Amino acid sequence: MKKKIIKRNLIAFLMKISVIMLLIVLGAGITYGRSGLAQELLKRTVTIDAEQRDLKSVLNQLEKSAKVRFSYVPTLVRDQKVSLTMHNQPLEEVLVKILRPLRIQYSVSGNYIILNRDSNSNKPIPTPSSSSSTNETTFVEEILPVDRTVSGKVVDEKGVGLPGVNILLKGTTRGMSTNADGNFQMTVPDGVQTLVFSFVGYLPKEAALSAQQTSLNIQLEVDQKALEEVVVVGYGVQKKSTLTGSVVSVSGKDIVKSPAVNVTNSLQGRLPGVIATNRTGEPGRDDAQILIRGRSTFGNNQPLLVIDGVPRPTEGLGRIDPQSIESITVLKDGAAAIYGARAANGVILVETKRGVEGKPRFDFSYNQGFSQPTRILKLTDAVEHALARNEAAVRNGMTTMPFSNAEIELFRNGSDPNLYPNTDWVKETLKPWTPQNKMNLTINGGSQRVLYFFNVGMLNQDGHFVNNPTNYKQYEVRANIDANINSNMRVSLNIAGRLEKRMYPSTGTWVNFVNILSALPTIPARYPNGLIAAGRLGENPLLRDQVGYLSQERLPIQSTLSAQYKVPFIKGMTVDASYSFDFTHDFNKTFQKPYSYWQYVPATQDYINVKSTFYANPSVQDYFGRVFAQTYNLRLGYAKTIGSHSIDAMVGAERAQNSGNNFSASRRNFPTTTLLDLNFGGSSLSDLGNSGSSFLTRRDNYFGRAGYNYKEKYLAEFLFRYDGSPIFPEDKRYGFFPGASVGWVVSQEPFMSSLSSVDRLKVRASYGELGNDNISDAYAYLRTYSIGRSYNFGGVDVLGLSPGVLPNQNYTWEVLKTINLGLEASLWKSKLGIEFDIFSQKRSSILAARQLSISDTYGFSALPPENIGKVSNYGFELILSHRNNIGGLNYSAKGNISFARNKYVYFDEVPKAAEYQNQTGKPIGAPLIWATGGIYRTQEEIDNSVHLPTARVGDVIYLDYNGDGVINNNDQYRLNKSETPEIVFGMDMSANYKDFDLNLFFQGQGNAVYFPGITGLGGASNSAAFRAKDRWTPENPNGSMPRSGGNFPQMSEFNMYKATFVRLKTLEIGYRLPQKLLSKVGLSNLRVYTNAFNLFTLSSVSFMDPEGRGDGADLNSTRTDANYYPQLKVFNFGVNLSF
Amino acid sequence: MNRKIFILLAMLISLGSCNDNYLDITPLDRIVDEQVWKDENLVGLYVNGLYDGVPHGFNTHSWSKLTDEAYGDQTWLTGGWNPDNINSFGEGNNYIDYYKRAYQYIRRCNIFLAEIGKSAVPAANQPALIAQVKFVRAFIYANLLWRYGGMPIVEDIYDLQDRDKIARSTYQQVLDYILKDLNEASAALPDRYAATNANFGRATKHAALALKSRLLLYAASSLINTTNDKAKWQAAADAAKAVINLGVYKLVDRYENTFLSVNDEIIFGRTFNSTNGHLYTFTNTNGVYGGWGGFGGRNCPSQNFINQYEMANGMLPFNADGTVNAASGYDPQNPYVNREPRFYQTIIFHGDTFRPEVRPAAAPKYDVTLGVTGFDASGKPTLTNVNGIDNPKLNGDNSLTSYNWKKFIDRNLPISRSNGGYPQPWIFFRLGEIYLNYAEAAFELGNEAEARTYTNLIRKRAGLPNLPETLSGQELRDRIRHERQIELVGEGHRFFDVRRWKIAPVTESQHIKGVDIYKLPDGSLRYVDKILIERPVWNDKFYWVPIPRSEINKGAGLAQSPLWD
Repeated sequence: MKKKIIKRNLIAFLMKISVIMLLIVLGAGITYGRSGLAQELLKRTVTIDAEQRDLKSVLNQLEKSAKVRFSYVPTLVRDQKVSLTMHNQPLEEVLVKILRPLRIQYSVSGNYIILNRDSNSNKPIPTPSSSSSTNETTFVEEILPVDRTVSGKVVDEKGVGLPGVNILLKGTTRGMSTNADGNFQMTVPDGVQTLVFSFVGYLPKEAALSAQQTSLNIQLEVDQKALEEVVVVGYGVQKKSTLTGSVVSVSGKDIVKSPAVNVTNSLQGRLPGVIATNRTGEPGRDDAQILIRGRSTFGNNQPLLVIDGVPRPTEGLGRIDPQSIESITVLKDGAAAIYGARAANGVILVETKRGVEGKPRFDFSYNQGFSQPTRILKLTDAVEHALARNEAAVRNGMTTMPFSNAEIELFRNGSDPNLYPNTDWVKETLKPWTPQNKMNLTINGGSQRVLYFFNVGMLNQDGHFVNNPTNYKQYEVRANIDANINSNMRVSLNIAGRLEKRMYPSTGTWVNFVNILSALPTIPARYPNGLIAAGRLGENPLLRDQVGYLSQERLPIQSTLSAQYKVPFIKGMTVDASYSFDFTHDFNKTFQKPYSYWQYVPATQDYINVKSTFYANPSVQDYFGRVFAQTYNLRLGYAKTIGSHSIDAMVGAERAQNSGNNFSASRRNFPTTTLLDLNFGGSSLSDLGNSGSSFLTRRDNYFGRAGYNYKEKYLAEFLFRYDGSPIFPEDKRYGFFPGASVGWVVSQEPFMSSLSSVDRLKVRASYGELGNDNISDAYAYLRTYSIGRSYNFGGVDVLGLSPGVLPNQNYTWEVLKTINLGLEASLWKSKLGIEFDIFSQKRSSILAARQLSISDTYGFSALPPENIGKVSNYGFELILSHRNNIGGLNYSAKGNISFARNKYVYFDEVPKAAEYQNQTGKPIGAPLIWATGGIYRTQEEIDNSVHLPTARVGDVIYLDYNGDGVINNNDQYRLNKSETPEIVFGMDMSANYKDFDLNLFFQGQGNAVYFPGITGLGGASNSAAFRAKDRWTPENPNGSMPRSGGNFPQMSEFNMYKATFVRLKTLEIGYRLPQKLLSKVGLSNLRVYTNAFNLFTLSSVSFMDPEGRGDGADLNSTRTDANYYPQLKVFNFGVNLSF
Repeated sequence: MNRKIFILLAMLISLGSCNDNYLDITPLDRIVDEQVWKDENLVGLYVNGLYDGVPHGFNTHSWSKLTDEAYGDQTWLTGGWNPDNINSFGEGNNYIDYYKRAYQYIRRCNIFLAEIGKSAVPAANQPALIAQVKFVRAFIYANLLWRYGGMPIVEDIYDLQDRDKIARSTYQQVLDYILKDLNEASAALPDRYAATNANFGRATKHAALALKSRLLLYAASSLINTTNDKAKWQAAADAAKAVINLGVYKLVDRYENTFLSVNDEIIFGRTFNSTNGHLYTFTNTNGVYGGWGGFGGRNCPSQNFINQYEMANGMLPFNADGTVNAASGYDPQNPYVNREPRFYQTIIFHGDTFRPEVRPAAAPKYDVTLGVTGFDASGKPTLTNVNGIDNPKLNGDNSLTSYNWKKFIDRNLPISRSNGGYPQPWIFFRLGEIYLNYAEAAFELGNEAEARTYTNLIRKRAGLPNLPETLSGQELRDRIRHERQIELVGEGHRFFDVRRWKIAPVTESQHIKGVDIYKLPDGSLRYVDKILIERPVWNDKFYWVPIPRSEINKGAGLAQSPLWD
């Protein structure tokens, strides 16, 4: 304990020193900083008359006449000649004329004018005073004899015109840029001249003009080095080629190929090592559960989400407009240590798009989709149900059969649909197709001074019920703006706002599916005359539009203001500061109202309208909540290359505060159902209700990174975070999380140069210690009570205290130690790419409440989280990619497979009745299941075996697993698999030929189990058709399913299925209209496409979607029954156009 | 320009580096322990929070479904309950599985008793609070005792790291412990709160006396008092008589009104209101009334129980061997005429008129009939499709037995789950029970006249003639028990009564029955009993509720209840 404090103090001390140093450095800056008179200084007028004079002497002259001092390195001015004559012109203008052709930048500091080589020498240099917001000719024309006009076109490697290419007449500052089609027309002096073409991402090209030449066509070559992938890592970007951590990313371009409206569902199979499981397709609640490298804790396993550098609530990931995503990157190993106590479950980094220099580009896209459930359970019909009921009655010794033969015949022949209907509830209550659509407009562009990206998007997704107000609507705007205040300082502002509107009936989704899937086929959904009948319990899903609604509006606004400052007098040093302010506002309205249905009265043959008693009176509950999140961040970076040695270091500090409050209020007995503000509700005391609460939490962090490489061949990196969180006891708040990695780019070695087939080969290794502090019981070190209504005396409710969790003075974050070994290779000119990672994770101090070892006699209220568990997890990820070009056909394929297997190493588990029931040694989530042995076929089999007292012929055979002569819970054993897949894979194949493109993306999983929760048959609910189909009956004694009414346990070998599947996740076919056609209507790009999502699935679970069952209200929940909103299949048509 | 930037950065840094207590925050959404004991108000709230530890009978259904009073939860009545599944009989089953909850509240009581002395509550105000807590703790232990027999007495306040050996105390030790708490509590408790008092429902001296009466009666019964120690019966009789002698409680004139609101018969009860009440009315009325009928009819009066109602003349409709007692005037094909008044006040039966205003206008009377054209030679009905609206074929929430409960159901409140709740109080102790406690103890002490007298008080209020003076011995004992079965139905007694009387091997082996009422074309009815649950032969382990296996497996030392594996 003491040790920890010392460690904490030491680190804090070091942090302070670095902060003080920074202050000194900056203080120095202030001393030298100019006095705000810089503008005045530059306005001083000077006169110069020079003809091939030394730059140095010209500067000396200016120093004297303008009373300024120049500061520069001698090499900068060596051998530079100046020819210029100007009279009484501002110093500013003079400097531009002198320095620009020489590619020298200047900046003002105090009375000093600092000269530097223009680092951006490929680009044209802006004049300091004009706002050069376009790429039209921005240079001050020099006085040169105009002799001829040269025109031509600049094209890219594919021959497509390149707009915005900079063209410079060599040796002058005269230049211009190409127009939207890549064409240019330029006046050039007579004689032999050279034009220099440059464009970001392409190698610059010089072209000599012969004396009389007036036309010139140029093709630029891609700068492979510039194209080299950079990957977003914590607090910065790194080149993929020198990356030493295990990091995967997917670009926004791939994400938009999926018509799924939720980004988390587009990630499935795309990111090796990421297990994204979509458990429900309910609009607005369809987030996939994301596990990075599977499970390595039985506590919370939610990864950290960082959007544009700021940690943000993980729920937000699914709702980001895919069109605004530049990339999504996942840190899987020690590289995540920079995020410290929150990194153990992996870190997801989302970067949104930013402006790209160039003319404004408008991109518009529209998608129209139609969705339907991938699979939905088929149920027994009325006849089958009635027969099964009767069989169950026989089995259970009832003397009266629920259905007579005559009645069954009536179900069969349908002659009395009022009283003996045969209702297909799924067909009656679910629509065959449901529309969804998305629309987007982005504007992107900017100058050297200001770059901008704007996005506005909206989407609309309808539910799949008939007469059921389920709907999700989303509107998003985003503006990312970067302003280069001067050559050293860039200020960026990101603002994104989103409105998420969800609409559901006032009753739950689960219960609605119960009312579909459990409703008896022997009762009508609608009477033959169309009137809606009661349905199950008077809760006919067709009535869900009459019960009121739950309307949810969530309005997250995320803003970040950040600045980067290149410290001018220490080359390579940068200071980054950012402040972000996020605000989320929730408003939910629950409106419940009485409704009615129709009932047929046989005696009078009338239909009477029956008022349902489900809701007694109209009532409204409003919920209002707001959450504020503020993050301050300050970083000091330093990068330097000395000869072959490059270093790159960064230290930073971050503080964050989350706070918020909420309240809800309700009223009953609304006199009207048209005005639903609380004001209109009943005003008697018993009609009113309200509640409210607030919260506050903070974080205090220091972090840093130091990277070193030698010739980009030998790579090493160290990073750390010193993380503090107030939810732990005072002496357990701060933790130190280090990560280190090394890499070796083997292909850079001389001995590899003979191997021409190897383009690139890198091996790397990393180690990291990461934390997880995500617990539901924060502040569990305090003994706390909540206040609430607890009892009633004399008819009056009284408040009472109830205890919170038992305090634990001794708990802190979980620790994950992770080792990763990786190999990356590119062979035969990218024809084969390989990325292979193996990892081992050991998680200790896992936070969880003790489940079992504490006797209930101690009387503890809910138990606090304790650091009681250890889990190990290991696995690998492999990516193979292939890219080729045959004739005009470009194609590529990229497959990935991940494997992750975990087990409980230690867990506060008092041995169960038997070793084979223990969780220790088994994967997380592995269930206890019954050993079963098929179906009893004869009474002798029962008599000769250990059996349940209630066993009958046709029942599932429970095995006496432990051989103790009785069947009880001790005969269950722990499986070594769970519902979480150990294997996930994806296969992305795309091809394009001329203007057509095709993309196929397969995804799947393996090594997971599935226990359909639909074992019941013969009870008072409807049953699955496949359960009833081949059941044991006296007439079908060899049936494959147990008899109706027997004991058929869900968690049993008999009911265990493999959850392995392969599905065609995305299929996309697109066509780009020819350029010629488009340019006539002023478009630069028009592409039409159709795509589909979850098109087909191959799996042994054929009756339901094998991916799992979830409850949209809680991401981590898994339903064990069939009553959930199923996964969706989407067919979509879309158009993208740009101008 | 640059200077501005530097100033800005310097400000940012200083902002981020000076505040050393940045992480010292207290949560805003809960009260920290020290604050509680410093504030008399909060201590009062702490005590309020303890009362809920005592289980009441309105947690979804009455206790009936766990007994032969009703067709109920299959697992329970088929003897399917065991240490593996007992934990699913918690709240929704009125805490038949009470073990974990009981000790949580006992710990809360113990914390209070440890802290109150040091608290900000003035010394003069402490005894009244301590007495309430001791009463609640005693009631919790009593509920443990009745379910499990002798259980561990825990007075230590364990903390997270503590481990102690846990052992059951004997039945007598726990009983003595409870009685000691009750005696201590009584000294500082008020006698009673009037029905109109805002404190009605808080612990009182009379409540403690009533609890003592039941405790001692149970302890004197043959399941516990295996040697038939008369002193125990005497203690039980004295305890009951002590309550009777208070003279402040009296039977409500009309039986059914006893259960709808707080009244002078109730010695101790739990009140509710219409904003935050229980849902008993909604969950137990059948589908036609808009309720859930006990969730698919799983809490409906059994034919077994219906058959127990005497005729209005005070005679039993059935003989001990199950044959019809012709002398009583009972007609099995017209079974609902001339039954004793409590039948009509407790049960909704075919042809009954109950709250017609909330029923479809076309069917104002409870109608469970099955239309038939006739019966074949084997007696099998030929069904038509014209069935009564209350028949379960029309609605899964209609009764499977053809009866519904009327007791505890408020006739005036709308039947809806979103109604906020129903205000009928749960009666822990009422004078009617105390009379029967006394009658039983007096009988066992050989004082048959006294036993008859107090049983007859109950019968008189019900509108029945006195028990025949000639009734004596086992016959009289049976009639006293019978009176208790009828009078206290649904009030949580039957489960324990059949066990302590050791008649469970008989009563709990009888199949649970309902009745089919066939309606012939001429409008005549035929009543045919039906078996709804075939019950297995009684096993003695069912005398006590098992402890969840997970608890036993912890190896903390707690012994499983007798005879359970």
